[in-house]
Amino acid sequence: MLLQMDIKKRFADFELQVNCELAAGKCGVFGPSGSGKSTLMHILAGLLSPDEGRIVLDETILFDSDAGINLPPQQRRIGVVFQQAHLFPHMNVRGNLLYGWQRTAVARRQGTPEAIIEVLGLSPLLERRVTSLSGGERQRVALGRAMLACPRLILMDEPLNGLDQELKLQIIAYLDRVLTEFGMPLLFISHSLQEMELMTDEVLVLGQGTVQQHLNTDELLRPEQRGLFSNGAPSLVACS
Amino acid sequence: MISLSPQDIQAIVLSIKVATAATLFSLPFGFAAAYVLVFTKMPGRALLEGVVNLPLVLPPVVIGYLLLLLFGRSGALGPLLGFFDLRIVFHLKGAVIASAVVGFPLLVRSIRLGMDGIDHHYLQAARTLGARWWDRLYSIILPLSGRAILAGMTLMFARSLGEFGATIILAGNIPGVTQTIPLAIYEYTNTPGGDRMALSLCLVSIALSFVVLLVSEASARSMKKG
Repeated sequence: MLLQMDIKKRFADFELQVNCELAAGKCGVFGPSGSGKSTLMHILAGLLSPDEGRIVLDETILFDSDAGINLPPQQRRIGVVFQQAHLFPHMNVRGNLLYGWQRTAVARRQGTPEAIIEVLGLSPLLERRVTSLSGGERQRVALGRAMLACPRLILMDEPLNGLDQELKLQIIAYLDRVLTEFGMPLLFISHSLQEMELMTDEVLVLGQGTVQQHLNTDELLRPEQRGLFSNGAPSLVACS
Repeated sequence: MISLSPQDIQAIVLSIKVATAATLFSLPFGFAAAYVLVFTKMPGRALLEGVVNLPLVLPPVVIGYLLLLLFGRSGALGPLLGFFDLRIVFHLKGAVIASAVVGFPLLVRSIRLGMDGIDHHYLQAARTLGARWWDRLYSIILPLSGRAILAGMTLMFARSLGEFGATIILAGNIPGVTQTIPLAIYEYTNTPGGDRMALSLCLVSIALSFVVLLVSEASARSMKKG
């Protein structure tokens, strides 16, 4: 995966300005609350348009203000796992999982629903109503649903927020398994150093809407870096 | 004891026909109006909202008169209707149109409430999963506003059953053609000795309204379960 971004987005009281290239298979966007992580996720998914700039994923131009290109989300083929899962409440687990799969051209489909369902351990849940699922189950279904749309990139926006430590590690294990097995690139957004350590190889550190650092995860975890982040955002160390 | 004359039975059947036709005829327009008001940012939304809600605050007689001006032989649409040999005034179609116009705001308001309650994140998620707008409409918006649509249809059907003012102006009170239950009751109350017949039709009207509410409740419950 090669994701190139050079974008600006202004709000009344906040400006996001990101200029970088991400090349690793598992990238992270790290930063405290209000640093612009979720805004960046929405822009990449096409749910929010930048004011100006360019976004290119591999060979595909997703957004180019000069050329007037702005691919809608349904054409970007970027899967999103939202913080709150946002499973469709009127469908059961199977309906949710197959929603993207049924809307993916046969030629573009990768893997099989059965394989992803198996890896994520969702078989016993297929006929359940999504309203009866636990937090961890909901996030596994959301991940399966995003993967079954056969995207070029999966975006995960703080998907482990609100889950207890044991559940987080359980989901991370599922996530790691499924990404390794199906070789899907990941952009993982979080404010937790521990999640960055477990989930990513390359990290973009955002602060106040700009890129503060762009480094390998190993570098992020060095003691001097940990100290830096703990000074800037005390909440970060709470999870690590 | 309820006693109904053949003319009363005709009025009951006509009422059901008119209410059903008005509700079904209005449904696609009501759904479209609610969709535009909730999910689009097109200019003129405030005007559309005003036009949709106007029948709610106007006296039905005023609505009937305005419809008469529109659909009458010398009305704005008169020549066009004449060209196609269509008759609205003093005709069953007139009763349907009067009921549809008067009940329309109730239908739209109900559907709109349901649509307003749909978490926009579901639509965002559907977009990222490849659903185009018509697909989101069909797979997310329609099923999630199903109960509101049903509630709106029920309200509109019930309102149509009771519609009087606009109907009598536009469609008249012709037994067997445009005379619905309220118009028949009105006629009985103006007829010496017609009280008992009026009361019988009142009881039928109450029973019909109950049936509508029961059907609506049962459908809503089955939709919730399903």
